[in-house]
Amino acid sequence: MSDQDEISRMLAEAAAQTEAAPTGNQTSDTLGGPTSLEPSASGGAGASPAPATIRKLPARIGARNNDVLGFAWLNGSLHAATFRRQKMTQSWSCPTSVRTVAEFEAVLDEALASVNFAGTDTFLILENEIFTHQADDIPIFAESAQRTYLKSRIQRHEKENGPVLWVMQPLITLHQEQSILLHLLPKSFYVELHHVLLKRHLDLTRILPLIVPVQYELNRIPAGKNTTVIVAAEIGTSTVVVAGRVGGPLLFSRTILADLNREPSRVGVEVNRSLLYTKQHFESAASSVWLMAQNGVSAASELQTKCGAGKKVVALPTTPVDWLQSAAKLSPQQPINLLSRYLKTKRRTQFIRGGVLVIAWLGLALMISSYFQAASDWRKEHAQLTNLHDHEPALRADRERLERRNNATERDLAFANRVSTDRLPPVPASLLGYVAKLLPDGARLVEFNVRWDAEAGSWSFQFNGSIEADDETARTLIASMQDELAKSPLRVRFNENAHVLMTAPLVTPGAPEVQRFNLEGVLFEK
Amino acid sequence: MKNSLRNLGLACWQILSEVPGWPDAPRQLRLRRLLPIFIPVAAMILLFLWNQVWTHPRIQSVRTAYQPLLVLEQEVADLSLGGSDDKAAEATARAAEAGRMLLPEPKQIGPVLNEFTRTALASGWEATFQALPAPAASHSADTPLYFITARGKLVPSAGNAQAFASLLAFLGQFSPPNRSVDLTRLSIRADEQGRQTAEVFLRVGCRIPE
Repeated sequence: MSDQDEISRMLAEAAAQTEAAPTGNQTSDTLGGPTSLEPSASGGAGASPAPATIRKLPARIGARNNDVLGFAWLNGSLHAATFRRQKMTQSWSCPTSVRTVAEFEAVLDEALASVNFAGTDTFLILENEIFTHQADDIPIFAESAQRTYLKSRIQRHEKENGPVLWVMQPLITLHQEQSILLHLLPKSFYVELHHVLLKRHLDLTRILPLIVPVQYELNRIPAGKNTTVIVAAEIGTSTVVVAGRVGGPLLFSRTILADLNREPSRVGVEVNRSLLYTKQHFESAASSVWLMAQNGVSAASELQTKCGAGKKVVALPTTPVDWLQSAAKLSPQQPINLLSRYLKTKRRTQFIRGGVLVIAWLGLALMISSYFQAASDWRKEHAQLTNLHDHEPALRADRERLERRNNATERDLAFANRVSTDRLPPVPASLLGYVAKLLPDGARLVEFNVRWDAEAGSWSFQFNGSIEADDETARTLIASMQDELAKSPLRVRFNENAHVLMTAPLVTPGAPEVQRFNLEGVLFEK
Repeated sequence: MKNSLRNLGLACWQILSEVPGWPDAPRQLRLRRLLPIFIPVAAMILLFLWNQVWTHPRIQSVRTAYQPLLVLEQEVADLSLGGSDDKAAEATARAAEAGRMLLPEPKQIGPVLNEFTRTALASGWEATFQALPAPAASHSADTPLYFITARGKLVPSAGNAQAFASLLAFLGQFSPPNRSVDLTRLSIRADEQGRQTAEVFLRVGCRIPE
């Protein structure tokens, strides 16, 4: 069930309750409306001029109803039409004059029944005595300064006349001045009207001055672009005269309190004055006058007489419903709307609510998905834990086996390494061979000792012998041998304090001189 | 502050319970309009609370109960990664090979020394080897290995004209690669007539019986 259907059902229930208890027909929402423009229901109820029955919504055509209801309330004449996608489906005209909100409310239900309106969006084209339009020329300011200027001007107006809804319509810009038209509607009127509509669940989103649809039609006049024309439009018992350029800005607007059908000559005089004013003030003569009225053919000749033969006067049969159709074709966001701020607030509210709705459901979906995933993961984890518990003895056995295996591996490797690394190289035989090879001619070894000192972790040696040479030669030969041994792979280091050489006493006279030598030291070869 | 919160709350209420085309809709209808938002939010809160109050503690308690088993599983995994059966077999083979280099017991040093005696004789030297008692401190606690020391006296055989060269060749056979025998000391003396005698000290690796 969509929101609209739900609301429709609620509205029907509310209507039934209202009919059952007419004195308490509107439940007051003490929290207030979303904008300052909205009246409180309780306050409005007191000002209501006539008791109203809650509108019963007709059967829905579709799931959502985007129909728009338009009212043209033009100086006592009231017309209504419904639009679906900017196309009029039903229209209704009030046979009697409607001047006050009370009279409006009295015929409203009949209008709604006639147009068979099932939606809520409502707009109003309004022209009456209390809806005023003030023309002014203001210097060209920055936008913020202009807004401040207008606000101060509205504040002054409100001090004298009470609160108003207002909107500024820019006209032509001449001589560094901006011509504007201020549309001012007493807020009390709006509050009263709004309350009447609210009771029927009609959402008044736009209040348009007649000049808005008139400008729309003016721009569609078959004339060259920027051609100055004057449009005289019948609005009930009055006539609106609008001067403007086709496809360009409006020049001015004025309302003549004269009926075009009953006083065509008076209207003609005023239109002629407007022609002259246009020519003098804007330095561009209007080329034609367009008469938009229900029956403007007879008045056209009168206007032709008053305006001169050179002016083209064209009568365009136009009914108030045509104004409604023109207004329906305009964008809902068009700026000349007394309730534009309300519309903005409403759109923002709907956007925020929609966003919150989407986020909430999306968040819930994500949360459920996340928890579902977490639950699924936990089920798997729990199954693994249970499986682990079932296999605990096997795990313990595995651990013991692996510990034994790793310990044995470690022990075996340590043992193998110890056996292989603790081997001693064949240093004694190597040193003996080296010394024997380096021993100079005439030298012989008497004693040779090499031993491994396990505590010091090094080899030490000592050998002595004799050499048949004089002292100098023997010293040189021994030194040479020492040098060779030191450079050998055994890395021999001799003790410096050892007594290296001593002369042996001659035993046989005439025998060669013999020197004894003694060398000792360590080997850095392990 | 209080007013700000109140205004914020009111604004939220107005926005979230907004009825299109009915700004002053009754509270009952506004509440119904709020339901599509309230339901998921309430569901989220309940889910969160259920998770925090019930599910999460239960899971934690189960995990805590199974923690020793998880540690055990991790230990098994670490032990599995710390070695392999191939590596263990290889280590065992290496240890066995190393073990074959050692004497299984000290008494078996006799045949080894006899063999050296025969080798020495073949090299032109008469050798007399004697095993010395091993000191108790040489036993290693880490590995089942200790060394037995033996002393040998060598004199050249009669008719050995190349005593020194044959001695060098014989000494080279004291460190065979397949047996843990190392020469730790060598003393050679030559008298005035050039006769040489040698004394050697050997250490022979021996395995401590397990």
